[in-house]
Amino acid sequence: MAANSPSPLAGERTGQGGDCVTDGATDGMAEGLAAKDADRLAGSIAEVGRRLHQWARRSGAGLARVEFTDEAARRQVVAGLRQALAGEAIALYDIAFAPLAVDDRTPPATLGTRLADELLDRLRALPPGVVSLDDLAAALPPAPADLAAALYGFNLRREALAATAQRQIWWMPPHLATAFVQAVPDLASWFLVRLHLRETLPAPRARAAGTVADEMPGYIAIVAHAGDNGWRDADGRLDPATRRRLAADYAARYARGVRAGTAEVELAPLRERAVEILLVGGLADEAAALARQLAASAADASSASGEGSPPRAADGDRPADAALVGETSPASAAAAATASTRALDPVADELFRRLAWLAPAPIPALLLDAPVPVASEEAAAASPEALRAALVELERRALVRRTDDGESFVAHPDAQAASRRQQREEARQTTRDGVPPALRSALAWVKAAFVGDPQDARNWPRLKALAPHAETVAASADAAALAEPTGWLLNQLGLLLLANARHAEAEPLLRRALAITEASLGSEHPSIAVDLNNLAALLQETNRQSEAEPLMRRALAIDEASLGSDHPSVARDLNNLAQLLKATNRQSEAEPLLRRALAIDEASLGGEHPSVARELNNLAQLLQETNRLSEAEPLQRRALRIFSVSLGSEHPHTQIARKNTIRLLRALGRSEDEIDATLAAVLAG
Amino acid sequence: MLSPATTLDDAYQTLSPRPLLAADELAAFYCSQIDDLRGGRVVDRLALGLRRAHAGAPYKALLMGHAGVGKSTELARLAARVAGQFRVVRLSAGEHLDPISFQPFDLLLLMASEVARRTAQPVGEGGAGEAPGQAFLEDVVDWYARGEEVSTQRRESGAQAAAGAGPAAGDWWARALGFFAQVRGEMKYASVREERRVRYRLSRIDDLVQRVNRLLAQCNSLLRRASSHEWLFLFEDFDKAGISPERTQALFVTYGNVIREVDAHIVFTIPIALGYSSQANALPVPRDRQFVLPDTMVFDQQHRPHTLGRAAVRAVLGARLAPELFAAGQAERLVVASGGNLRNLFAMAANAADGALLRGAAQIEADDASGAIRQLRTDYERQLGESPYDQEIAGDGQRRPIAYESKANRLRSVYRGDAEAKIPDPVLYALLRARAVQEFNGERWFGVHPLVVDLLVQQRRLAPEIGGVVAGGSE
Repeated sequence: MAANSPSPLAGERTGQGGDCVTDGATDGMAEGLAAKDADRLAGSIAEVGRRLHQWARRSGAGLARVEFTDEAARRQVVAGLRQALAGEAIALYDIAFAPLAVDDRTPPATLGTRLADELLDRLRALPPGVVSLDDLAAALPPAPADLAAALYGFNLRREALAATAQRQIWWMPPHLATAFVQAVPDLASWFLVRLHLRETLPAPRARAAGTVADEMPGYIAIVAHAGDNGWRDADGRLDPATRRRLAADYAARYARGVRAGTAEVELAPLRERAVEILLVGGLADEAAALARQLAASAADASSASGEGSPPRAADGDRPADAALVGETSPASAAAAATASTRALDPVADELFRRLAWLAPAPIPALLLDAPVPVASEEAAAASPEALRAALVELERRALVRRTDDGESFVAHPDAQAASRRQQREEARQTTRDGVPPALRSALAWVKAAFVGDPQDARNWPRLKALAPHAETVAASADAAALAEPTGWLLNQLGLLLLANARHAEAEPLLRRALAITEASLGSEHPSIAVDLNNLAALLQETNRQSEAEPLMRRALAIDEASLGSDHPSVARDLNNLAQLLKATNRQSEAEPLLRRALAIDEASLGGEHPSVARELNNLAQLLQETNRLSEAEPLQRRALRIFSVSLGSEHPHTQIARKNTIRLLRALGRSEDEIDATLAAVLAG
Repeated sequence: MLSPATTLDDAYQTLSPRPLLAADELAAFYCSQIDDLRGGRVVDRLALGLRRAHAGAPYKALLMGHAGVGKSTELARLAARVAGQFRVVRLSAGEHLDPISFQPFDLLLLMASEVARRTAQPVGEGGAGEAPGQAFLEDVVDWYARGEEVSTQRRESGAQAAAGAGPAAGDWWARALGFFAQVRGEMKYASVREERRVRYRLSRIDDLVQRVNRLLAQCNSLLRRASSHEWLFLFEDFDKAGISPERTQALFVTYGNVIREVDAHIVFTIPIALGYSSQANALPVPRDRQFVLPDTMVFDQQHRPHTLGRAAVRAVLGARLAPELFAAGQAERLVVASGGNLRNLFAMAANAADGALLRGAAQIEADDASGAIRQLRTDYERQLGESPYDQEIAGDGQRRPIAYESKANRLRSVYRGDAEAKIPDPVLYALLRARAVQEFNGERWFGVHPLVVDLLVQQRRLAPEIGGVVAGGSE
């Protein structure tokens, strides 16, 4: 039997083809008529959709796995589920796995844990609801042994995955579903819901679905109406005019459906399609008009179902437009958000525009206290007090919500997305460079809050809380070609991750920071040398000395050329390069560099500067390694004294120099009493 | 929801595959009948050993059991049982270590950093309210950082002005926090660690044990003074799929002396295969402190219904779902089909409850239970097929997937109770891993899962006996 063939058990049974929960195939057990009915529905889009809906409409966490073979059918189930949940104010989020950028040395098991950790990060950033997880197979290695190892990585995170606030639906093509139960049965047993979607869409519709999926990712229900509208041109493609006509058509149908109280189930998803089509087509005015129309439709519907007006959300005095934001479908929330933000006062509007560029994760309230970069006439309105009042206004409109501890708040992710789209569209029409002004403000705002040395553990609580937002706004700024302070922010983020030994995450940020600095300042600017040093430090820490060395040498060359050969930055570069040479057993090459660095710093900074102590310490260590202990001693003692005097006895650098001094004195054969006396003498100055 | 669900719509709230970790969950859902049935009273014995060891020699034990048997839940019970004398530090090999590259010194550094961090926490939060002495912690940090010097200077940030501003209070603790973070980070990325550094550290591991022991002693002393407690480490998941068996064996056998010499109360969960291997005698813990948690049986060795076993599993189900949610006989069917495996049981019950709800019914009827049983049986069917993930070394020395025929023959042999069926080899481990074979009393009594018996019957690999029925199946 081939290695991947199904169980031989399957072949010996009659009509038993898989693992759908309602599979009614006979197996010798007593079955009733109900089972025959179930047979008819087994694995159908309707049945799987009902099962998922039954499960997803509940609160809390949970794991479901659904095997499927037909992508169009899968999309149809998701679309139906989204529609059904939307009516129950339950959010359905889509997460698509993407292959991670890993090098050849990354073991498959590590790939699995990283994918799982990344998924956990994304889930933890989402509010409670339902998540549809797709494309896992594309992110995993195909070879069975590697696939198993990667799945083991998920197994190691199973408790954490099962404990997030969402019900997760894991979509699995057959080979992955088989690997799941065979390679990681422990993990598979954590999925209490196990379904098999067998139905495939009829071929013409499936083909049409594929076409639409390519042109409008994520939107499939339109296909059901494709034949009615004749929307495809001779080449089978959509043109902008057709999209516009379709959008208007569907919007009108949707509105009719709501008012009549009929056909809503069928037409509700179409409003999403309509909005999305317009946005995809870049038709901002139509999108805005439609958003208003949809919000009004929803308000009408809400009003019609209630006893009085104006319509109110059930849990308070949120305006009707805001009530939609708490709903589930991203597009309806986007539409409502667009309408809702128009009613904001200027400060709240500006605040939300800025928040739109941050991550869909808890935003620390301390950000409101950061200096806001605005023109002087707007300064009063942008004071922390004004911003806090604006935050209350946003909260009232359900555009943000406070976290339980009150220390942070979360912006509605769909409203954020809608605001970003709107801002980009406005900027295209009103600014020369197409960069939304609030993006610049948000970038400067986060930079102002991102203070403190990222390598100092005392700053970590603050910086870690800001990190997802810094990364998100920097990514948008980078995409908008804003060089600074994007490069600075990416660099600080990279250093924060590096200090926390999150090398894999730090590396792309440090590389990007370098690329941005290089693009904006040219390849010979001293800032390039700083970025090169940082990246080289990461490479060195991850055992890639051969990659680090040319970067360090380039940093040295840049600083020597631009600042002169006696500049302290050159001394820093020499020191760094010397450490790398020492780590690669090239002490004889390292020593002259360290001596030169020492001479430069002594000449330019004076003999008592901590940088001088740094070089003295490192030179003493090199001398100790090459068995020149007597020569090392005065240098080490002097390093300790300078650090102690300039940084204080408790500073980490002083402590390291102290330890190094003790080791050296022990190597010299001094007794503990003599060592204590020496240390006391040195520290006494 | 901490009481049995009384409606089918609430069933999902009480049917969770998660171990019972919190005290209120244990109180609501744990059924002592399971523990009684297993024999050995593992938690009682562990608790007794720990109580005797309080303020004395460190107590170390190994806990083994097949997947899903409830090891984490039993450890949570242990933690609750000894809460008056011990503060528990729960660590996971999968979560806290690099699963494929961890080293013995990682374990020590992780323990040191965790115990120091937690000792410093306020008494009300389970700590001693006082950080361990700087010298003790720096003793460990120094070992870790040895050979590291002040080296690279990176891009300065806004904090640059602080340099030269003089000493700041708590600097050493800030450094300690940095050390904790660095240790945690390094554990996770151990696979990119320099081999030279690993060798160097291993050569100095005895020194690290002594330093960690001094720190542990101080942390225990502080905790005893603050609340009369000592630290207890529960180090789990060395038996999880994904943890390198080679690294686990190195830790518990090659570097077993590290575990012997570290002065801490620790319970490890280790792979049962290691306990059954030829290396078992080299494990760093005496036999009387190696415990096996067996599965819960629903049949006896002669394939007759095991009344007590079924009652125990039924009690577990009753703690989660009210009896009136089942039509007559249906709960029992699920109990039998689960083979005593609780995750199986919960998956089937959840499935059957949803089936009933979709029919608009208020009770799980025969069709709902049948559907759930069929679904789980199909999972077993798929697991048992020839798979690239279950391999053995063939006669030509090459690794090959285990043929289905080999699995089926072994299943038949286990079913018959043949003595040689118990001899561990890749086939038996594959079947144990798939939960097709279960181990019941900690004395090498193996049995075949009822749903797998069903499958063997359908294949005519097991012949009907008296009355035309093969005993031990789900129906």
